[in-house]
Amino acid sequence: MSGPRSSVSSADMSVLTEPTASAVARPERRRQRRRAALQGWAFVAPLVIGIAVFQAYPLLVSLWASFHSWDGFTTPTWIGLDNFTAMPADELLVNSVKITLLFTLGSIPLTVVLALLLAVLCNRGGRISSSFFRTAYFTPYVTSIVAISLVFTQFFAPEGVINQVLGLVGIDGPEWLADSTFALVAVIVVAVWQGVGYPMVILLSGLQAIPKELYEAADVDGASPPARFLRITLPLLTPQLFFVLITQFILSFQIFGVVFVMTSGGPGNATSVFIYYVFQNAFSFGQLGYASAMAWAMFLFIVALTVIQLRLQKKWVFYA
Amino acid sequence: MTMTRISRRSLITGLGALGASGALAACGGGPAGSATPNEVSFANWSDNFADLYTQSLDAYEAQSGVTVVRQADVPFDDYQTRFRTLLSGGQPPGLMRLNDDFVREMTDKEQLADLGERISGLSEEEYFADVAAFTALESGQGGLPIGSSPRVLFYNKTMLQEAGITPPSSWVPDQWQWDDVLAAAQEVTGGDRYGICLWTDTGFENTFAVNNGGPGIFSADGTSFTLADPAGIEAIQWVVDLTLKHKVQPTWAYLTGEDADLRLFTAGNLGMFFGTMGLATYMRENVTDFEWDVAPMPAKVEQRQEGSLSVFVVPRESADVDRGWELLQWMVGRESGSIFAEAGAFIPLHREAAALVEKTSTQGENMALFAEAAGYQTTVNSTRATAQAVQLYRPQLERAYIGEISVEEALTSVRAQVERVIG
Amino acid sequence: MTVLEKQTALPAAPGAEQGRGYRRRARRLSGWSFVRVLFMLALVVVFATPLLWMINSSLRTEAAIAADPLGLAGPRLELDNYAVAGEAVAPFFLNSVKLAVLNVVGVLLIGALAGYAFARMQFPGKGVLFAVVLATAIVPGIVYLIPQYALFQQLGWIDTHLPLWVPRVLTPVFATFLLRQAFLGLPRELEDAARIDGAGTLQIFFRVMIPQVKPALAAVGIFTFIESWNDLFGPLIFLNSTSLQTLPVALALFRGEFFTTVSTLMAASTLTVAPVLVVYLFAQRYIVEGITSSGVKG
Repeated sequence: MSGPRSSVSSADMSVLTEPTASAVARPERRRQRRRAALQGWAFVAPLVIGIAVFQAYPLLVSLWASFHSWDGFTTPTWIGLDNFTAMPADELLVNSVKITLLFTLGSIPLTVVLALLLAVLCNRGGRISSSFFRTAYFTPYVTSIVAISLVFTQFFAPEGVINQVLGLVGIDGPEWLADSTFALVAVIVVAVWQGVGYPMVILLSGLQAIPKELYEAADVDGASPPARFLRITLPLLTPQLFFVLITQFILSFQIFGVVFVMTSGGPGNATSVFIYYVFQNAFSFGQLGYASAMAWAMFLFIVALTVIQLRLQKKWVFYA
Repeated sequence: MTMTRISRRSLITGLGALGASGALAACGGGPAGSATPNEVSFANWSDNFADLYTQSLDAYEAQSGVTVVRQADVPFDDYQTRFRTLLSGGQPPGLMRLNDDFVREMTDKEQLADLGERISGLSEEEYFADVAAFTALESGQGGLPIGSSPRVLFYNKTMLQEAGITPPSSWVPDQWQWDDVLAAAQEVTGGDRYGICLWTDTGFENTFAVNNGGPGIFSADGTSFTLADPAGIEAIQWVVDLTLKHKVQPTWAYLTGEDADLRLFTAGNLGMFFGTMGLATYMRENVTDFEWDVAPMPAKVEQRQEGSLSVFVVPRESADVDRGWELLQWMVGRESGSIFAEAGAFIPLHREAAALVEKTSTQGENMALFAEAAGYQTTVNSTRATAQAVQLYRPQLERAYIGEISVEEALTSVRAQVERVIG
Repeated sequence: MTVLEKQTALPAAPGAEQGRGYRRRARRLSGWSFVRVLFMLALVVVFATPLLWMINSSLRTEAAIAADPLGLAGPRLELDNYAVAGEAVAPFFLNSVKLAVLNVVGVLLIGALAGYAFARMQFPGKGVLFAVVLATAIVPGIVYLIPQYALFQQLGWIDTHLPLWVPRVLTPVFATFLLRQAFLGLPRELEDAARIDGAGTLQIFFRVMIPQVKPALAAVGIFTFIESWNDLFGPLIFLNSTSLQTLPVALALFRGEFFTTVSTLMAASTLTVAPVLVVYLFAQRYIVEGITSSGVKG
């Protein structure tokens, strides 16, 4: 596994409509087209082989495993849908789904708003200062989660940096990682801190593609900065926002690294997210069949959610 | 740029085609070649004694002419998931470390070679037979503990002496009862200082439950979750109350920081704490401002300690079971045992080697106590799904540690679940 | 070649032009601008503190960290930590570099080939295939994990570097998407002119088209580098031999079963993060540019 964070880089969104080739088909033309087709397939062949061998095949094996009881050692036995029907009664699973949804609800708005704020701020200013800030905000994204989780464990200690800072403004900080509510908040903070760089860059690229003339025209009309932001920036940024949203949903449902190295699902099961529970079942409990079934259930859920988001995009995404 | 949106249909077509192409890819090569002669592979997790293992394996190579192919050490937590892939991976190592929690499960699932007959050939006088017996199960004996790292109370001698407290230097229950330890902790607690810390080492669960007169976490037959019996509940609640009621132990929250207890101790702000012999090395290197020493576990009905066993097993599917066994024999033998004993890493299985532990005392600390502790060993009764059981009950216990619920509520709430997976 | 003149048709480099436009406004609103910069600097502190703490701790003794975990006293230049950490991570460095290079080169090559085909070539099944590529992005990684292990085992790939680069190189989904978008943004005349000059498809691809999408290549390259460099689970699961291990696993090894030596772990972490930061500093201006030129859009 390349780690959940890396497993999804982009979910797409667009396909070019090809201009339909002319209906006239002289023999010469046909030969050319066949050659072009061969060339095209040759160019995509490595990718096709890769997807078939390393993604499609494992996907099918996983589906097969989900109908079996399998510990990885003894011969798998066919149990039909039992793995799937067992899920609703599994309290720990239900809990992990709940935790994952809470994580998603917390992290997505935070990530998107913060990424937007940072992108807007970085979009201004001279080249050097813009580069400086952009780099500073992006650095968490390039650091290894192993090192960073250790640092944050210290920060979230009851008398750690975070509570000391909160103390300065008169807030009596919670016992973060030992508090059933705030442990999840801590996980969200670390995940957002580390993950916000990528959406920031996407949004920044969108901002830079907005034609300057639009702002100049607005200046002439005497539009206030908030009005400019709401009437020009935001609508023209909706394609990137949509992209960010859809990728963030997929990433949030797969949150794992931070939990794995920082909280191990605790305290209690307060940060036991879905993928962590699947991972435990597969690699600690030796229940590969059940784990595969859960992984597939999540897959189907993400497909459904993505389809819904694709349908909803018509209502709010503005394509220039 | 001409762009249209991807439609739902094309997404679903895509997913469908993705599945279909998988069928085409369903081809695989044969298994890779078998091990070359005169080699034996070895897998371990990183436990702070990598140098000693290297020393032992190098000596074995020199003596036997067999090359030991050492797999990369992986962190403890990761090894607990990795050993499954190692065992099921077709080419398991000749000799590998296995967490004692998994010994019964792996033996029952016939993943380990049955070495019972060969082990019975070892002389009983030369080895700690009761420690060796840990791996002897009805379904076979797949390996041996090469040693045990006894758990004791480390204490800040300077701090305790100032308060007029002298913990006993040998394993006698008189005047070192639970209440005595609590009193001592209360005596030195104050300001930034805490008297005691017991619960960062999960070995406390079994140790205190056994010392309170119960069978420990699980019953002897491995089918009952006896930690949820009154003796178990009372023991855990006693430890929890050190924090919640007596306030002589740091809070669970405080301890979420990596090794917070160790750092509290080395900074001179912790009177006593519970840990394995392995920590003595750390103390020697990092405690500079005060004297420290070790004391036995406090007694109640019993005065036992749960030594952490370093179990090594020979996988059944390994390329060469004989070579794995030969290496294991070396590792439990006197020469290899001496390497670990002389460094004070753990008490080796070999009695004569174990005696060398005393000589490792460099700062006047009572290393002989560790050797003595080996005679008071208790072990968690094994079950067929210990790891899963632990994952069920420990999160609930954590809720008790932070005061959300009582230990009784925590343990009784998961008792049925735990017994379902181990029963 | 005549085609080079067409470069002006490319999206303009972001910094230059737009910076000028805003500088004028910035001068006018200097008070507000000052507040904004202060605010941005405050955010920098928030984002950088964990890393600064890491570096600070790497320069202190274990005892000093124990006594003062926050480290407000500042570093004491304990370079011994780096000597210990450097010696420990050095053997893994080469493996990480090797894998990063293989991954970056491979992903760029395969991704560019596929991206170009999807953007510019006509072949049957193209639409469905592209949809498949995109669809793979939404499959949770955990679904693959177990069967992939079994697959690599069958192929005899366990304990080799192959599982750490071949699958990633052959499934460059993000690269294909981004580069396709970048190629789509190029004017058709580029190829037409080269074709009239008698260039073949491969020649056009390597000599004419590739140089036009450098920013997108840089963006893909840096993301691939980060992913490869920080991959913890791959090496952990697929490698056994010490001689093959990579940096993140070496880092994890500083966390012993019984105790962790924070100071050396932090020194090792700093050594591990440094190369990524350096590469990023050099490539960062291309990232935004690369994504802009590819027009990530819905």
